[in-house]
Amino acid sequence: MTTAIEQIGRSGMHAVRSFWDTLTFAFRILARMFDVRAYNSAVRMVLINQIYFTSVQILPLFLAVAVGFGAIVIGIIGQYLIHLGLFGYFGQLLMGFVVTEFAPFITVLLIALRSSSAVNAEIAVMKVNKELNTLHVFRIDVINYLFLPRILSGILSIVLLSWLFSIVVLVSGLIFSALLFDMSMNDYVTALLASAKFSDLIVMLIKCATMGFFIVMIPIRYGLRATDELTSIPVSVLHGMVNVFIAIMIIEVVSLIVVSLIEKFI
Amino acid sequence: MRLYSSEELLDRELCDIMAQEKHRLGLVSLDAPLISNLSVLSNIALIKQYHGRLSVREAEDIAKVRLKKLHLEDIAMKRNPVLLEVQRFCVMVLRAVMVEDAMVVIDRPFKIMPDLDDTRFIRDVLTSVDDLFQECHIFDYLWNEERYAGGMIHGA
Amino acid sequence: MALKTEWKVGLFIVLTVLFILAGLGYMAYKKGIFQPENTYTLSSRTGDGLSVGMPLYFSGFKIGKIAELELSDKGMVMIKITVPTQHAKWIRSDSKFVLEKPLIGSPKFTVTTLNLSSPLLSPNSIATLKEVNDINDVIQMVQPILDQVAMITDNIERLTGSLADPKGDMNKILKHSEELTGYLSSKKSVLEMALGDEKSVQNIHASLQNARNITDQVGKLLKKTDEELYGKDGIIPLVIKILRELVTNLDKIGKTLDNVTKISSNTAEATQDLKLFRSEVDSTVNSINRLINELDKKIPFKSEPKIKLP
Repeated sequence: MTTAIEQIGRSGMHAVRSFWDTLTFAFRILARMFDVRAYNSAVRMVLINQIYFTSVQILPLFLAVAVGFGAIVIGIIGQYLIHLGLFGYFGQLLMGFVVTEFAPFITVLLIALRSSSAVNAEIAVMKVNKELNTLHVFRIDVINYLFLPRILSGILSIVLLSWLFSIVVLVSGLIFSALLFDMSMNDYVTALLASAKFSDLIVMLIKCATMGFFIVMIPIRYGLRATDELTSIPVSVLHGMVNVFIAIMIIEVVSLIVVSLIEKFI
Repeated sequence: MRLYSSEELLDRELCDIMAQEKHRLGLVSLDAPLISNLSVLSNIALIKQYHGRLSVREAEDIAKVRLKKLHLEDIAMKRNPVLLEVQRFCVMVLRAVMVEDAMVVIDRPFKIMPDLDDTRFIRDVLTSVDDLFQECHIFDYLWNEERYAGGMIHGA
Repeated sequence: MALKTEWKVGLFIVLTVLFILAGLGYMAYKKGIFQPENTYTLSSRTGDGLSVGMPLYFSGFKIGKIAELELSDKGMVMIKITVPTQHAKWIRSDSKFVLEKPLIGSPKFTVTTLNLSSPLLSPNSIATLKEVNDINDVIQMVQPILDQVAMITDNIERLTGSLADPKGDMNKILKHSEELTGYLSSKKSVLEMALGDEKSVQNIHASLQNARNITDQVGKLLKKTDEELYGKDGIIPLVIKILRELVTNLDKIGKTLDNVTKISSNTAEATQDLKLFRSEVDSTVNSINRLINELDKKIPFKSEPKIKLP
């Protein structure tokens, strides 16, 4: 009994310590992000490569997913609204659900599956191969050279790809609404504009940036936890990815609370 | 050349020198491998990009010139895993001499190139780039003393 | 390789940013953010139902919004509204600004302009905001009806009092009935007695029928009105309850009078009492009738109840 309670207490303390360490690490990186001295051509090169791997390489697949999901989601939503006699809410659902919730979520999911796992494995491999030691010996700051460009790439990629996803979904929605529901372009645009609010888009932007930050920072942190053994690499990736998904859920919930508070008080 | 009777002693001495000369240390060691997701050219250019704040092109131009000195232009775009042991050693030396007023420290060279019988190759490589570093120290075990029988240079 | 990658990344960033900016720009343009706006000031006694950002409608179209709400030194609510210049033509010096507060749903801020040839409203002038409050209007209309209901209740109370009073009319009738039994045992003609007050009995029955009809009318009328006014605890159910009680009472009185009349129609004194009583019943029935008419006049006719969605 006592052992079980001790175990719970130990797990709780470990979780709190881990959460606190993650936040401290996040603040260290945030502080470095705004330090101009942290940037040089080497960092820029890594940043460009990371954006290339995270955003440009994934683009064909991403656009196909956006068109596909857009058509399916708009088709299902439209059919349900017609069935319930609430087609008047079509614009609101597109803006409130597809653009501000669905687009960032799918984007984050795709990037997390592809790039977060890659970053986690990359850092873990570097740790096992002692490449991090090389950087240390040659006085190359790992935060500046390795972490910062990857995190910046994560933020930029999630923000840009979420917006791109929204635009593609809305354009495919325009085509599918005309085909499925006989909706004219004018009606579609009017319905969208009536529901579009700049405050929602700003919240979406902040949410995307926050998600971009954490879905790269967490894998980096777990990658650094790898030991000198090769077998520690999959373990660190596993833990990193589980925590990435927990972070995505937490950010989603926090963003929903923030949006409801904004609507309540402003 | 510094030869030690035990690994522990060697490691301690190496740590001391790394701590004392960290600002001009150019380490050639298996404990400081080449970055595996960068090309040979980028590995060498990285030091000048980061500390010299040179652009990618400027730093890579310098790296290309130095690779030419060792007749290694053809491996410029290759990455660490595909390099031969001697090529890897040369690239590590070139990276080490990119450090400003470098003090090159070669840690157990026969561990990097186990097939090497003597120090002639090492001496040739260092002679080719002797204008690029100030000092060079080789750390190895006492039992490898015979391999160094041909003599070694002690800094430029 | 590096240049190629840089070029691809640069193109991706530039194109995506351009797409986003174009989308945002289009949205901003369509929402009229770049359009110049006219600002007008309105005054109101209360800020109830008003909020910043509330749209201003003209003929069902949104033409502006409330930009600012502040309290003046005199305690009046000053409402600053912004209207894009393209819609400024709908706002004239004689335009009426109305805040409609419907019985169901959220308030609606509208402007109506009857004469579009009137001069444009000057941004410096302060127009007055009129408030149309459906709930208050309904309460105002219903108040006299409630007063009448109170009067009727008094009347019924008086009638009941009269029935219970040992010196009241009912007891007089019962006394007369006793006397009548005495007469019956004497030599008076039954036929004569029956003929004496049969008309009065018929009149009472007619009055009772009339009261039932009226109750039915009220019931029908209730179906036409909204749940809120006519719900379980509403005003009209109260009226119905009272009317039903009244009808029940009248019915009882009718039955009693019917029995009494049968046996006392030839009694002059009894006949006089019955007439007096019947006139009271008639007067009550008339009151109910007046009330029904009043209800019919004051309650607006509505078709089938329907919930309107925004």
